[in-house]
Amino acid sequence: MTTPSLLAELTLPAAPPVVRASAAPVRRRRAPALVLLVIGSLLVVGPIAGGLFVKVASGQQMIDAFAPYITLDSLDQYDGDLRTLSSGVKSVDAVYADQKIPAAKYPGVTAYRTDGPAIDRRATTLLTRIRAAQPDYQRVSDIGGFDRIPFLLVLCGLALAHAGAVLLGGRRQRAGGAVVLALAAAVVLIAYPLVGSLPAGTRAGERLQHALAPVMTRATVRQEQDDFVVLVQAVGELDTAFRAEPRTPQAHAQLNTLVKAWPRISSDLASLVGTINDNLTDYQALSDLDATTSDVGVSGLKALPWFLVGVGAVSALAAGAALASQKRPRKALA
Amino acid sequence: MNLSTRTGRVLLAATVTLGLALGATACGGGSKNATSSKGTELVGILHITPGSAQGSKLSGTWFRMQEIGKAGKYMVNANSKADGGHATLLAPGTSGGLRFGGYQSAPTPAFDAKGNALAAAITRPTKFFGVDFSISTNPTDPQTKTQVAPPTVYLKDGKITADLSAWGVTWNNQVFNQGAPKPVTSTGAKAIGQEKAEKVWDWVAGKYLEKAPAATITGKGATGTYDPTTGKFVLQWRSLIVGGPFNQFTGIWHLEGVFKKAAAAPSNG
Repeated sequence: MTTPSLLAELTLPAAPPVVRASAAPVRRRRAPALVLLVIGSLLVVGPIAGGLFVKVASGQQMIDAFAPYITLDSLDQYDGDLRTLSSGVKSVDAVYADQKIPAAKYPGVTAYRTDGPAIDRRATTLLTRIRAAQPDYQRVSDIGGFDRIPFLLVLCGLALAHAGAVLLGGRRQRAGGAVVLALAAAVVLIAYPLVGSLPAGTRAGERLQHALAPVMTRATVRQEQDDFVVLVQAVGELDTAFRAEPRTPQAHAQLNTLVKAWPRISSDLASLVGTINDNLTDYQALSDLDATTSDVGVSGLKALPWFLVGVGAVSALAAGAALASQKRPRKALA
Repeated sequence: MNLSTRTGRVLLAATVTLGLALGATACGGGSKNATSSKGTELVGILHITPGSAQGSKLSGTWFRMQEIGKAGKYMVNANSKADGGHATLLAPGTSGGLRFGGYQSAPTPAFDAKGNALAAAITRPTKFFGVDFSISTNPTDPQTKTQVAPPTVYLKDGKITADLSAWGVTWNNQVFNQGAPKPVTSTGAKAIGQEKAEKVWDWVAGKYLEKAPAATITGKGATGTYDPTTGKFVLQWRSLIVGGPFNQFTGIWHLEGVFKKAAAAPSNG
């Protein structure tokens, strides 16, 4: 006996081939990525090659070094020192006239009589310049974190260069993240100068740099040292041999005031001269920073914040273009 | 984490730390490895003889300050009668003089309210243009901020040479190095992190490139004579002031006294 087949042989028609739907091809425009890569690379290399780190640190060091001398209280004290020195010259003149003292008897005091008015003029001019520059100095010192700007540039540059490189040759899945990174760096570059006091500070820095130009020179330091030697030798004689010279009560009081105040006056003068001397190199670095863009007739300090904003804006546009490019499907080929 | 990898990392960290510490020590002061070529190191105190003057003839311990670029023209200290004020005589301080092989640091504060220097171990504070000045030797030079070796002196063939790079003057709220050789200044502007990076680089360069760390002193040391029989000791040097209000003035120093050996001093004194 045979068992009938339960299942008849099934013959199916041939199925059509399965076609997997593929994503629409994306046109990856290279220009925005290239722009990001180039800007990023320049932001990394530029500050290092241009010595920006040291120049900015020098500027910061100079600002910090002058802090004790450029306050209004300190400047008032210097004015008081000059008044005491000037009164001293008048008193010495009076004693010389009354006692008919020959010039050679007290060479130190005689030099003070002779050079005193010129010393006073020079010191007054110097203090007037510093006092006039005080508001700008304050604005510059208010910038805060001035010496961190090169780090900001390099970090943003690394981010932009990385984003550009990913967009150019990396996996497509990472493109979105790269665009976000580039946009973040661009926002930082734009926001840093605008949120903080950088534009006002760098404008003040440019004015300060020009205002201090006649002060921050070797010649000024040398002249101040010579003046200091004249004063120190004179006060030494006033405090010793010259005390024996008869004088009016008024001259006596004024010369006593000078001699008593001399340790403080000489400390004030020495500190200021020392600070000027020790910051000549820092000042030069700041001047060099300002002169970076002198070829195009623009102050480097003034241009700095707008350079950051400009670079940030171009980077943001490039990142935006890259993003748009990622989203736009390529037209089907005919 | 794999144990061997972890151990390796710990070892690496320990090696780097040790290396950095050794590198910092090497940067920080003079090495005594060259003792044999320099001569015999003398450790003890130079008990200084007070200065005295007969006319322009000076003896004992004294100093002069030469004006900028004017050889032989010295500042006239009205508070000194020695050589018409052209020299200032010095007297021994509370330690009796200068210690070799250890520091005699400035006190804190270094000045009184009128700017008089308060350091009194090496020499007695002495009036200079109306304000007391004094001497101290510090591990970190107050003016240049450079780490310097303690005063050291070597005897060779009857001559002595000394490293007095730590010799610092305090006067009227000012500090200026007057040593020989001179410390190289460390006060130049540095970007954030630059100092640490330089230390690491010095260590790496020294370890892997066999490159000596950057010199911290420059110029010649002090020279003089020493009689081992009597202990009589003479030491002199010139020191250009670099930086500060007296930039380019030159100090001329002359120390006389009797050297007495003593145990090495604490490293910071």
